[in-house]
Amino acid sequence: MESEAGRLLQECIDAFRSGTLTEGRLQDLKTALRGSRRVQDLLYMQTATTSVESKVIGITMVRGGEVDDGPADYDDWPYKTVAEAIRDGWRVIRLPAQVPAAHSQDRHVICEFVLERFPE
Amino acid sequence: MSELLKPKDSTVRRAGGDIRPTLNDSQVLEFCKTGIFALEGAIPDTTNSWVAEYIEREVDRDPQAITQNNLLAEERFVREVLLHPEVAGVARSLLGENFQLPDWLANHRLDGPRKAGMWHVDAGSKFERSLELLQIFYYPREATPAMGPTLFLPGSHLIPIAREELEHYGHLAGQLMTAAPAGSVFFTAYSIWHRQPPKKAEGVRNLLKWDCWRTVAPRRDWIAEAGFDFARADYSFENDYFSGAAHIWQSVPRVAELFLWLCGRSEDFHHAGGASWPYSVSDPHFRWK
Repeated sequence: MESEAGRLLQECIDAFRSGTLTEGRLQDLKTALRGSRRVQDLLYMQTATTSVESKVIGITMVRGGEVDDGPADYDDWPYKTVAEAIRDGWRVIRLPAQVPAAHSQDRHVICEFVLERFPE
Repeated sequence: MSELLKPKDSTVRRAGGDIRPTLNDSQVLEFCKTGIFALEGAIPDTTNSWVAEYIEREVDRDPQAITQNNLLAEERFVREVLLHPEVAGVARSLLGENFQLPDWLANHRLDGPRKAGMWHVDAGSKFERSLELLQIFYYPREATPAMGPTLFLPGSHLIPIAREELEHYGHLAGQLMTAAPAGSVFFTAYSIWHRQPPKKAEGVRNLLKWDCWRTVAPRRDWIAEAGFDFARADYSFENDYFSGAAHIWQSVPRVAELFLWLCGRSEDFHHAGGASWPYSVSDPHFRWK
C-alpha cells in the first residue's frame, strides 16, 4: 500500500509538471514526511561464498519488527542469490567482511549478507 | 540444569554383552558424514502407548517436570526402548560393547502451538572427531510437521560454530525435519546443530531424549563389509548447506579422521598435504590394511 508521504510526493510531481505546485502542497509533503514512520525490514542471507551470485544456503527476515523465517522449503525461498534480492529493491548494509584468508579443517567460513528495505 | 543432569538417585547401568551391532561399514561412515541416523517406527505401538500414557500420568503429578527419570527405573522401558534390538544395535555399533545407559531422561514436551526455537548446539559441544556419546531422541507418538519435530542440519556436528552466531539463523538449506511415525528413534552426534520449528498444531508433543556413553576403546567391531576399502572410500560430504567445492573439500579430512577413530585407527589418520589421502590414494605413507 502506498504511504501518505508517497501519495503527496506524487501529487507534488504532477503539480510541478502542470505548473500548479504551491508552497502549501510542499508544506503538506514536509509534514507527511516528518510524520511518516517507516519500519526497517531486514533480510539475512547466508551464502556459499562471498559472491552476490553465490547460492543462498540460509535465510531469515525481520518484517515489521518481527522475525519471519518465511517458507521452510528451499524451493519456495523468495531469493536464491543475493543479486536477486538486490534486483527486488533490497539494499546491502553488511557484506561478509570477516571471512578468513584461507579455509581450514577447523574453521567454518560464514558468508553472510545483511540487507534492508523500507516498505512503502 | 542440576535436576536434569544430576539426578539425586542416579543409577548407572550398562548394556549387556549380548547386544549385536546392526550397522555396517558404509552406515557407520554415513553417520560420520551426517551426524544423524534414523530408525523410523522401530518401537512397537504397544510400547509407544504405554510410554505415552506413563508420561501423562507423570505430568498430571508434576506439570512442570522436564525429566522422566522414573521411566529409567521401569524395566519395561529399559527392555523395550533403551535395549530394543534395533535401538541398542545402533548404539552398540557406534559406541562399542557394554555402552552405558542413561541416568537421566529429558522430555522436550510441547503443549499447544509454539513459536520456533532458535538454532543452537547443546552446552558442552566440542565438534570433536571422536564419538564418546550418542544423543538419542524418541517420539512415542507420531510427530507430524505441524507438531514441531526437531530440525537437524546434517553434517554440522563437525563444524565448530558459536551458539551466539547460530541464534539468528532462519531456514537453512538441507535442514532435516524429523517428522516421523510413532516409535521413531533418532541418533545424533552431540554437537549437531538443531532447532525446534514452529509447532502449529494443538495437542502435545513429547520428545524423550537421553545420552548413551562409550565405555570401551573404539574398534571396528560393527558389521564389517568384505569389500570395504579404506583407501578408496568416499569421505566427502555435501548437502544443500555445506555445498560447493570448498565445503566438500573441507569435509574430507574431518570425516576420515572420525571414521578412523571409530575404527580404532586414529594413529593411522594423517593428511600429508595437498591432494594426498584421504582425498586420493596417492600417499605412500598411508597404511592401507
